[in-house]
Amino acid sequence: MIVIATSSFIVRKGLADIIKELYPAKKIIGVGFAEELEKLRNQHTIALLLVSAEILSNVNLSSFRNIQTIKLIDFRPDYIEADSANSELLFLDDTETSILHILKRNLALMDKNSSGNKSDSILSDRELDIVREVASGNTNKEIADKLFISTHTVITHRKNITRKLGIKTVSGLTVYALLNKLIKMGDSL
Amino acid sequence: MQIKKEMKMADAIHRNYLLLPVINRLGIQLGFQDKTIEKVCLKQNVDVEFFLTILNAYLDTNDKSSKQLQAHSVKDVVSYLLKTHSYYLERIIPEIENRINLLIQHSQLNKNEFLLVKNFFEEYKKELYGHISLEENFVYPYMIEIADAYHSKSLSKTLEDKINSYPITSYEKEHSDIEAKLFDLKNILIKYLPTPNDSYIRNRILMELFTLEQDLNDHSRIENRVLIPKITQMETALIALKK
Ligand SMILES: [Fe+2]
Ligand SMILES: [Fe+2]
Repeated sequence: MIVIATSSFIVRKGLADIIKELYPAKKIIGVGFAEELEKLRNQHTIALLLVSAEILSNVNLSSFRNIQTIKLIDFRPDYIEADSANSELLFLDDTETSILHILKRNLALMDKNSSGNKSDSILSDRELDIVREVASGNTNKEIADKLFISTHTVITHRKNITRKLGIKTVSGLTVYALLNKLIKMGDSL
Repeated sequence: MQIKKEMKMADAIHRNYLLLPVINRLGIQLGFQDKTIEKVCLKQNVDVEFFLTILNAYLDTNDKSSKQLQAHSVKDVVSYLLKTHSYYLERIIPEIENRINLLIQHSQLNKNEFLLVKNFFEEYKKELYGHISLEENFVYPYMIEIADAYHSKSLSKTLEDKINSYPITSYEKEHSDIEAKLFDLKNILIKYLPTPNDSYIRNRILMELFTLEQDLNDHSRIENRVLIPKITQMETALIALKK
């Protein structure tokens, strides 16, 4: 999933719309607080993170080190410090062309990075979400509430997951999720 | 083609080697020269008709073989099933466990991956043990009690209460649960553990699991299609006795 983390609603909404147009297939989630971002990070695989400086300064940086990141900067400053390999700066006051250029390049890079994972799993993004939740020990009802879908839909997803993976039990799904790094050790029961 | 008593015992094994532990449970050990099934059974004091029915039910899973088994006494069928239980507990499960332990020794998996497999198998084992002990402590004794009452045509008040509160059909659905984890474990080993340099150890585990699965299927089939219908009939007949 792609995560846009900034307290500015207008920036979240704007970036989400632009990315949706450039790359309709991927799930985009917007968060406004550092705590929300940390929570997402623990439960999901973030393929691309667009994050404002004020949120970034409030999270535990080390757990975000491996994520492909675009830092959102309000104004282009006079002096820019050198940045780490998988992180890049996007100036919100930049021109349309260069903003689109940076986004496109990062989306392509994200695709390349995740193509390994992606082709390994025959599950859809939504089904992967469900596997994560099941493996973390949530009931169908809890999953339904959390993902804003009906219990019936959760059950349908679970049937499809079982058919696709050839795994019937909750413990089996947990092993699958851990082996495929959908969740981390300690997230499961 | 059915296995017949005129056939050589060795040929039955050549037909399907999975019959090896089956004939052992029925009381036949290897080394039977070129004797026919009938001769071997006679010599070892094994009921040849029962022997043939069990073997044929193993090879041929249709309803006809279940019908044939229903003709035999509940006691005989139960005592065969008890022997398959001890075969699972004493032989197969420890064997699979040993092989799973080889996965870490030969560094096929890292520690976390190994623990995932090991714990998963541990859970499966617990379920299987629980299932077996439920059967041995409650289900089988109940079946024998029903069969005895049926043959002596007398129904005690306590047995009548048991029939009404826990008829044999209430145990039926237990079996699907036991199969699910075994099924998952196979797919984890086949598909989802990281690719090893050499699959030999994993193959061996898988072969054991497939064999166990086939044996368990036969076992559950006997419970579900032979014993449960038979006991249900007896329960109905016993209750009718009171009216
Ligand atoms: Fe059993
Ligand atoms: Fe059973």
